Amino acid sequence: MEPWIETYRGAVSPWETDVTEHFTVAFYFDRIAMAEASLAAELGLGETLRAGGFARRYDVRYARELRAGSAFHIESAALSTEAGVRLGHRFVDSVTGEAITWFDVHWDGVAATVPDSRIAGDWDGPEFETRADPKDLARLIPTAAGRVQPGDLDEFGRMGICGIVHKFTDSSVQIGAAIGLTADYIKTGRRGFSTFEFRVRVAAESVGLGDIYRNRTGIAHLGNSSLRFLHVMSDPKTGREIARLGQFGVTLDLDKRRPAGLAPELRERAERLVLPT
Amino acid sequence: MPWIETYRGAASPWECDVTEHFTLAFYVDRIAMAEATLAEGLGLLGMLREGGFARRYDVRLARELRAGSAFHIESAATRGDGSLRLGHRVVDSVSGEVATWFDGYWDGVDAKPPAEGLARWNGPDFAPRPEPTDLARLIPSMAGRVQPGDLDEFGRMGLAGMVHKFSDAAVQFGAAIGLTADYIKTARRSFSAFELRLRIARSPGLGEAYRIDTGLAHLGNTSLRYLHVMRDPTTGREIARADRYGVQLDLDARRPAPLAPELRERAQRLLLPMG
Repeated sequence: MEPWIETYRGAVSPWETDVTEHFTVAFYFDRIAMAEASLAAELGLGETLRAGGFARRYDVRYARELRAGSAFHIESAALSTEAGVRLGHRFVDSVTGEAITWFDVHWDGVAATVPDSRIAGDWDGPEFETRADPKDLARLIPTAAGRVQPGDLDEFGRMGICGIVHKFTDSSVQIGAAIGLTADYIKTGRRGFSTFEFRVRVAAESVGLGDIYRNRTGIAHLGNSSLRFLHVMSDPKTGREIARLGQFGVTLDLDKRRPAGLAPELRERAERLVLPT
Repeated sequence: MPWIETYRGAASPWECDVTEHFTLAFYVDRIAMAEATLAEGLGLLGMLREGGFARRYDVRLARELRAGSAFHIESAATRGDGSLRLGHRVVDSVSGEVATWFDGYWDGVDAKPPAEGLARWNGPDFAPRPEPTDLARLIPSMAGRVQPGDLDEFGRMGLAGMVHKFSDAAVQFGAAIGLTADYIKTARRSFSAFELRLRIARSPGLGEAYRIDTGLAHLGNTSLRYLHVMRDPTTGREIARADRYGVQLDLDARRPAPLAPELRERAQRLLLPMG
């Protein structure tokens, strides 16, 4: 058995694309949840994943877009079992054979034994530099709230990574609207927000059906065309953090598919939401 | 705690319909969450979980939400004597305007929130509408079985699951009068609801069969009223009904547009006798 195995193959459905007119990030995670479970089963870690109870980190680099009708597959491998389990996944455009998105995943504190022959030594994904999160989260604004619904659950009956990212996507729409990147502006101005990097942190204690969540968001970086949103999902009853996402992206010219500078009126609004770092 | 925020999020593109706006069933998907959160705040979540009472929802859709719209929901108990009345307002998070009102009733539930917990309802009044005297002329518009994706957090067919089926019934009924997918695409006309009266007698469970029959309860110049009745096909027992008032919409001008003569002619044949 090769270290790299194919863990998913399929396509992008038109209803899985967003207002930026490409495959929306939450559906990448829908597929990664499957890929992760298939890889775990292959490595003899299926029950570890099912039992849960450990924190997970997903560092993601989106290098090229997938759009409605794109055919793609996922290749996955264990990268390390030192100081926790590290798994790699790469999304491959099934037409060109190019790797277009990388997921560098850590299961924190999980002690596992995997044969050396199953550890891939040829990870070709990017290095993820450390990004400082703001110390003071008091200026985050409310961006999502709701209850965990049946469609949010994963195959293990907990709120899944796809469900979590869908809520963060709602938060992204809300913070976008707060700085003027509204549905109307996107449609008439032909500008959207396109993500190139994700840092997802999921706490060890998961949430289940009917549990309440609240998301709050701030801006951790504001460049010429680039923005980094910090979203924090928590339990409003206890204040316990459920997950957080650092979302790095650019405002995109929807026709040229290239980064575009923020309009002055949007920049002014965004500046008010920048967090102290 | 009169009005509390019970949901915050956005309309996704895949939640929009051929009328190119946020489809009704997804409003209701969010209202189901808002209702459960409000019930929890009022100490009534156990009652909602248990079910066994009829529910009514009178809905006024005042402004459209479209793909990428940011919105939130504010909810409150508005009456507690005899039947519990719960109000929800769907607010455009950008403009702060109320886009949609939901006036909900739990029939026969004699829960009495404290007086200071009751809010004043500032939504529209919903006047009674004439009812058809004979449902024999309804036509079949939907049939299926309750699937896992139709269930709510309590394991029964949820509000959103039901309204999705009524939306299918509306598409079928629209096609029967000539408002077909091709016509919508080429003529740039579609049906847009501005009012919904939803009555739920009971909530079926996984694998139960249902069928919906539909008729026309009103035909105006631009306006139509669809009446959908969902039943258990084995017993004939009513599960729910949806009374949907709307207009034919010019998809570009986003304004009501009169029905074309050939569609009007077909629609007239499906009019129900009214009391």
